Amino acid sequence: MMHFKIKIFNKKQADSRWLSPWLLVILGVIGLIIIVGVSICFSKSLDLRELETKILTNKLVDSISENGYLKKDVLEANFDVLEEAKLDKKIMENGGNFYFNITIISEDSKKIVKKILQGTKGLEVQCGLPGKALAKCYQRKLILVNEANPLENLKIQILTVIEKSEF
Amino acid sequence: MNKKALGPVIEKVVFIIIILVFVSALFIFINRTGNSNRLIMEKYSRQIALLIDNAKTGMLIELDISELYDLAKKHQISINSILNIDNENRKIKLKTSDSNYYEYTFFSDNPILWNLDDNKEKIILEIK
Repeated sequence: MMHFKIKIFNKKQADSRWLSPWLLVILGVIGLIIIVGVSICFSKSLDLRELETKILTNKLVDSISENGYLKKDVLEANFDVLEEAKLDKKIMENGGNFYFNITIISEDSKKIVKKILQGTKGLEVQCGLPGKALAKCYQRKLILVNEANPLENLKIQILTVIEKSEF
Repeated sequence: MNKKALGPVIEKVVFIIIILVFVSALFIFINRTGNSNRLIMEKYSRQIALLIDNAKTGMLIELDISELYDLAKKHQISINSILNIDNENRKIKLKTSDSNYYEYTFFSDNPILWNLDDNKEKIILEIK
């Protein structure tokens, strides 16, 4: 009986063929996966809007502050933030892709001293909502000393929103 | 050589050739996709736009654009017809033909003076 079993086992030989239809099928599947993966990866555009919101915020901070002080003219009625920050008026006002909001709050009285809004206000609503196509938001808070009144600290909140269709 | 011994050898050679062709085809595909015109134009338009937006008045910026020079040579056109900075509409425009172009907006208001250094294959941006 034992001898019979060994005989059967010996008849089964391992398949050592190098070429088989399965090889082509496996290569085809691997190739297809790589082609689809690479195509998806390269077809997606780089989304730089988050980086741009930070750049815009830095420009705004530089335009209103100097050495930790809030510039005197910021609180004046005729202060033009776009001019000071060297931002293009046509793009900021009519483009519809940008929005920023600078809120200046007195630390003593906790009252809003000044609010500067620019751009498409509707974009602010998109902040916090999930979705890659929606606008990107960035908020920065800082404390500055009022240059006109050095005893007063001012809390500055800056919200920048960018929605570009070309990302 | 024995005919029976020749069979497995041919099989192995064909197997190696198939694998080599497969790997080469994939390599060429990935290389071509990664160096496509659109990708190069997108990369440089955004890079230049971000540099301009982040720059401060008086800055002089040099950027290597050798890939754009290669693109110009490939399409047999001058580099000036590929790259353009539109100060009026605040756009970086890159195009290899009328149908194949890419543009990206920058928001900085500083006038931009730009020159091309053909020897070093660089763009020189002067932020006014």
